[in-house]
Amino acid sequence: MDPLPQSLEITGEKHDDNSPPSSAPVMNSIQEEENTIEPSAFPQPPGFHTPLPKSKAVFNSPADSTPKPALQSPSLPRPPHAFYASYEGNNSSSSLIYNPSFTFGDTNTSSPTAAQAPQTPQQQQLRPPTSAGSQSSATKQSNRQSRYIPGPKLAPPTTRTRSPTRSSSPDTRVKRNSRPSSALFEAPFNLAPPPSMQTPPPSSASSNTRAMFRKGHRYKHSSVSMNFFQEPEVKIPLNIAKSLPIPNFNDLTKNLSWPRAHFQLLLTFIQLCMCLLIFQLGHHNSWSNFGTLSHFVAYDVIGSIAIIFVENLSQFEVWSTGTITYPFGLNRIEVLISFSLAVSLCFVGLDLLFHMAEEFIVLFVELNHDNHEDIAPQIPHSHHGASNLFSKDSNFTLWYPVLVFNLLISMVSLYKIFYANKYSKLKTKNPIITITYTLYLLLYPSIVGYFSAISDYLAAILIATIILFHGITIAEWTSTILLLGFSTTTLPRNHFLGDTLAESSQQGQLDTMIKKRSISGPVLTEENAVPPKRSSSWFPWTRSSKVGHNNDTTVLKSVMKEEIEKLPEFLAKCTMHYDNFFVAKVSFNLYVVLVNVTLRGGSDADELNLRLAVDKCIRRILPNAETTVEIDRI
Amino acid sequence: MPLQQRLAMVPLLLSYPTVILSNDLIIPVELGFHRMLILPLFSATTSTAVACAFKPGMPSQVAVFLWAVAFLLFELALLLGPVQASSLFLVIAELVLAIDSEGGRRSRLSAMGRRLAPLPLVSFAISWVRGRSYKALLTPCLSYLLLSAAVAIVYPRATVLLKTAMRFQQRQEQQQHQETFQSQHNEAPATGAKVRSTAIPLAALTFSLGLYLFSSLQPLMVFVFIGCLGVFFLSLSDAIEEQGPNFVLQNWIVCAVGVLAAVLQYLSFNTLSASPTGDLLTAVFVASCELISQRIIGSSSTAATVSDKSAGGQETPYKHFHSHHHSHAHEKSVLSQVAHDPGTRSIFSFLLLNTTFMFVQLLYSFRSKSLGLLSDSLHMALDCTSLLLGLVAGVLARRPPSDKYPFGLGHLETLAGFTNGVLLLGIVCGIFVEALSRLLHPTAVQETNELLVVATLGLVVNLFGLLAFDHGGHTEDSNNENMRGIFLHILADTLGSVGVIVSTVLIKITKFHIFDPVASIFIGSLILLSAIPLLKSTISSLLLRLDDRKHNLVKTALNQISTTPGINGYTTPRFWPSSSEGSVHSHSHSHSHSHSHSQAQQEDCDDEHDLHTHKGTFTLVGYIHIQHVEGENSTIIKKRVEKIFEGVGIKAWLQVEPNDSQCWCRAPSITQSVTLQSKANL
Repeated sequence: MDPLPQSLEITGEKHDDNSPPSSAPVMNSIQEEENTIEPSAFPQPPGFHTPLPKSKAVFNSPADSTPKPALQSPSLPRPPHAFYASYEGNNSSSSLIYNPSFTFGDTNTSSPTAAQAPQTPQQQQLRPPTSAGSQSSATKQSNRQSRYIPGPKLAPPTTRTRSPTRSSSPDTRVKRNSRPSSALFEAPFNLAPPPSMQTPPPSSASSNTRAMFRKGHRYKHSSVSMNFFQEPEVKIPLNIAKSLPIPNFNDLTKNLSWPRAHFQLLLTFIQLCMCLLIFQLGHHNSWSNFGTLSHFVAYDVIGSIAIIFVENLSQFEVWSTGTITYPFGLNRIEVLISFSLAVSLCFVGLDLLFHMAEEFIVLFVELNHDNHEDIAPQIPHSHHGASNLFSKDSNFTLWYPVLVFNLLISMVSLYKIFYANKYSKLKTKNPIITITYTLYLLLYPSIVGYFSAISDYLAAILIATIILFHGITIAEWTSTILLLGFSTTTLPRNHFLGDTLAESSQQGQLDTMIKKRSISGPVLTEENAVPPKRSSSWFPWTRSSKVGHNNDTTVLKSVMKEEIEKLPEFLAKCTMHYDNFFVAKVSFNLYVVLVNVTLRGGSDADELNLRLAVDKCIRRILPNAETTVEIDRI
Repeated sequence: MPLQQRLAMVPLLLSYPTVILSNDLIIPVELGFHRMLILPLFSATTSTAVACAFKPGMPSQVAVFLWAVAFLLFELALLLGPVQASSLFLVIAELVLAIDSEGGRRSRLSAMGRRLAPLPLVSFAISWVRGRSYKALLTPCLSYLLLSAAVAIVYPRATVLLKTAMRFQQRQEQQQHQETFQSQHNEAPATGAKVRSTAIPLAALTFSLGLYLFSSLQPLMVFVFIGCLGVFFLSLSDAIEEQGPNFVLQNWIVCAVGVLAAVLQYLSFNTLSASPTGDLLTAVFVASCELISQRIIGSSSTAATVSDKSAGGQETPYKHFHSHHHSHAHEKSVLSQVAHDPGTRSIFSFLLLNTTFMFVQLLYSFRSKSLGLLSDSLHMALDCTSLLLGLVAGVLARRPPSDKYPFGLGHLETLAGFTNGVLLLGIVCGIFVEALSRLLHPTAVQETNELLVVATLGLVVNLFGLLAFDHGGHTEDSNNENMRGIFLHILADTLGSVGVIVSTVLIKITKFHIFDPVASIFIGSLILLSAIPLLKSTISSLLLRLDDRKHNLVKTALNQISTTPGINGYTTPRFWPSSSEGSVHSHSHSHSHSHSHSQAQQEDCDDEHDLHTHKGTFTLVGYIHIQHVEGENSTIIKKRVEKIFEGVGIKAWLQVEPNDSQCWCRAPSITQSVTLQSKANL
């Protein structure tokens, strides 16, 4: 995949004058979101951004600022050295991958510009004079941040001299110091870090100074004196990665996890060869069954490649990290691939069905008019050769070995690729279809005597139907996720009726809930009213379509709302509208819940408690939800 | 008449003769005289059943009437042959429409007789040429007797029915805003319709079963017949709702139908009538029908200006129940929504045309036992499916948000475009595989002539499609990925036809069979090249990717937030392009109170807010958690942030929290767990 040029443009401006000459493997990071978890001690009170000589020393030695393993996710064993090198156009933005052992581009071609994060002038201007970071909390923070923040491996700061003379305006400083620093629970992106944080962020400090260093705009607001010139009041770096590089093909190939992915690729290659062999064999001997089988195998190959691709891609930071450009990361690629595979599955099934229909029609024509000699051989996938298949073919000795080998390969690929994928949750497990069909073909010669004419039709139609059904199911489910819908497919059933509700009178409660809902919600009222009449028509599309034909969502949403309203923290003064309660699924394992609550009166503590309780309540039903509780206080 | 309407007529004109012709082929001729009775009975029942299926709320009078008219039509078709029957029936329909309002019954009948006088003579001449015996004259004699009897009996009933239907319709229109009345009113017809919509198909089914058992019914022809009937009724209702019931009153329509019917008959029987003179006379018949219809139109247009246009409830008998369906417009089905949407209308009519053509091909392939045609028509069926998919998606995308789709279905169009792209990829793969195997094992292409004809016809149809697309909604929203997908699909088909034609011609000239796979590979790569940009753009928008402009928007907002005093930081700013405004409208409450601020806001931040032209449209939707300094008023903070987001046109859910409070967005364990959950296979 190409690195997206648009994202590069945003942060693409380079400052060539201050690039360190180091060729050490460094990572480009986005400066705005740098959280500066630099390990060097910086004995300054936070908010005081005058660079000290000590920090300068840190800046000047890029080796010191090599990324620390602090940020590494414990789940992934990583070598301590992380290479974040520039690669072609990729270097202008941050090159971050989740697993530091993965590399972007050529590891040894880190261009000098790669060492520093480029900034647009605007960002420079907004550069905070200081930023928080602490050695002590580095590990902890890194864990927190690994989701949204690329990591601490900031580029070594520039070595150019900075003017330490100018400090921030007195206002700013006063304001800053007046801020209560909460050491108990410091957010990773706090502006005012707690006093316990000792480290000033060297790199960010350097970038701050860059802003001061500019000469052009010094008098921009004031014609009176530069004493009154105020630094733009921007302190907070953007806490989110603007964009993370999209790994391209080279990155992917370089980061294949050694034994596993290679084995899988080998397996896929064998499958591919198998597919071609079967196709050739079928073509040569006019075994139409083999043609069909080769289609299935080809489809398996595509599925395997998709899985390997996703598994590899999911190692990169951009996979799970939300950026501005990709708010939920590239997670959705998985959903998208599942969807497209399901669609193509439907396509294959439909194609097969049409072939069957074609042959069926031909059969009819033949029954009516006895002239099938001239028409049968022309059919591409005709099964008419079946009767004399085994008598004349010397190649029949190949039948069983090929099939058995294929069965073996399919089995292995099923268990080693499709079931073994830890990271991806692709929903295509279709070697099962191949295996089924292969088994049928193994049996085929023995049953050919009895009802060969129909067994082929039956098997093909059956398989096609299964494929179609399977494909449609997956497509419907994944499309719901792609459309940011509330997909309840993977949720356990007891969420609908069971444990979350009080035991007594569940059903009645639910009914009243739904009734209540249908009164309040105009959409549902229509839907409830319409179906009984419409269902009399023969054509399913005249019914009110798929929107809301699944009542599960309504039920579950009602349950959730009811649960929230039953909370003790949900006081009598709180109101919550059903229409302002949004649940959406954005990827295979992430729900987004947006709640809107109006609170009449109440203290800050009430608000906080309410929010926490709502969050907890939702989390009980949807464990992987990102809840946002918007509380309006009147 | 605009081109779009003309295009909408094409499927109607094609399906009408096809219905008649396929009806003729359902039971082989050998059956003899019984055929004359059984077949029209069956066909009439079937067509009524199909009509009932399409319009569930049809009153029973109309159903009976429809049955009678269909019976008459099919009987005529049997007696006179498809060409004569189709044009004759059309002329009569025009007559009924044109001279309905004036005079009494007798005068009307005599007027009809006067107008139609030359036609029986030509018919007699045709059958005389065919049979050269007095027995042959029996059939036209019989048919015209039947026709006049039918006109005498059915016609007054038709006017009565029309009137009642009009009254019914008016009443319903009056009550349309009174929903309660409406539902009560609908009750009775609904139950009746329910009974009918089960009874009539059942009757048709038993009929066909009996026919199949006792005589040699051709199930494939029945399939074609029913399919064509479906297309016919669909396009008929489409045309009526577009142009009113008087759309039949157009010049050259009879001629077109006659010519089409003749072509179809020639295709399936290889003869028109027995002799060249018969052919000539048939042509004369069609021409005289056209002449008569032109005279009728001429007279009716003067009459129409006099008579009230809105009282034009005069319709051909089996049309007025369609307009009756108008009253149900407020609860349209998806299909009718597709048909009435101005953007997709022309493409819908192309879809109908494609379907009709598919059935024609199917019919012809059964007759000629040609496999190329058969597989081509099945390919067309796939095309139609994907076209329908795209159209339905286009309509569904305008649905309001629901519980299941809280942010609306706006992305559905993108999804449909993506699906079309994936299907195109599949087709391309199929083409490549086929071409490669052809390259490896060259096979001689047989029946090049037939192939040429089929490909040319397909090319013509697809050119119609491209034309429809140009005059459809394509021009104004070129960024609509759904439409782009459909367009690419049609384009691919057109290219395919061109490729087949070129390669076939080349093969004919040079005798090198290599051209066939080469041409298909070339076309396959063309399709691939056109599909890839579509796939790219749909993928990036399905991944909720923000383009540069939106990215900058978010950046601006975040920068403003970070400069806002009292705010400590923020987490999880997640914003994605809003697919539709619907979800946002339902949630505009939180911004109503900050409206007064927004003007002041707009004065001081004057950069790049021009896209936020009016309140209520948001380019982005999303949520963010804001951490404020301890001791600050969270409400004030919230208002400030809201103002910022409002200023840049972002709909944001805000969770304002004290800095040291607990939240999943900062709690290490939870964040970690969520992050890891995407890693671990749960």
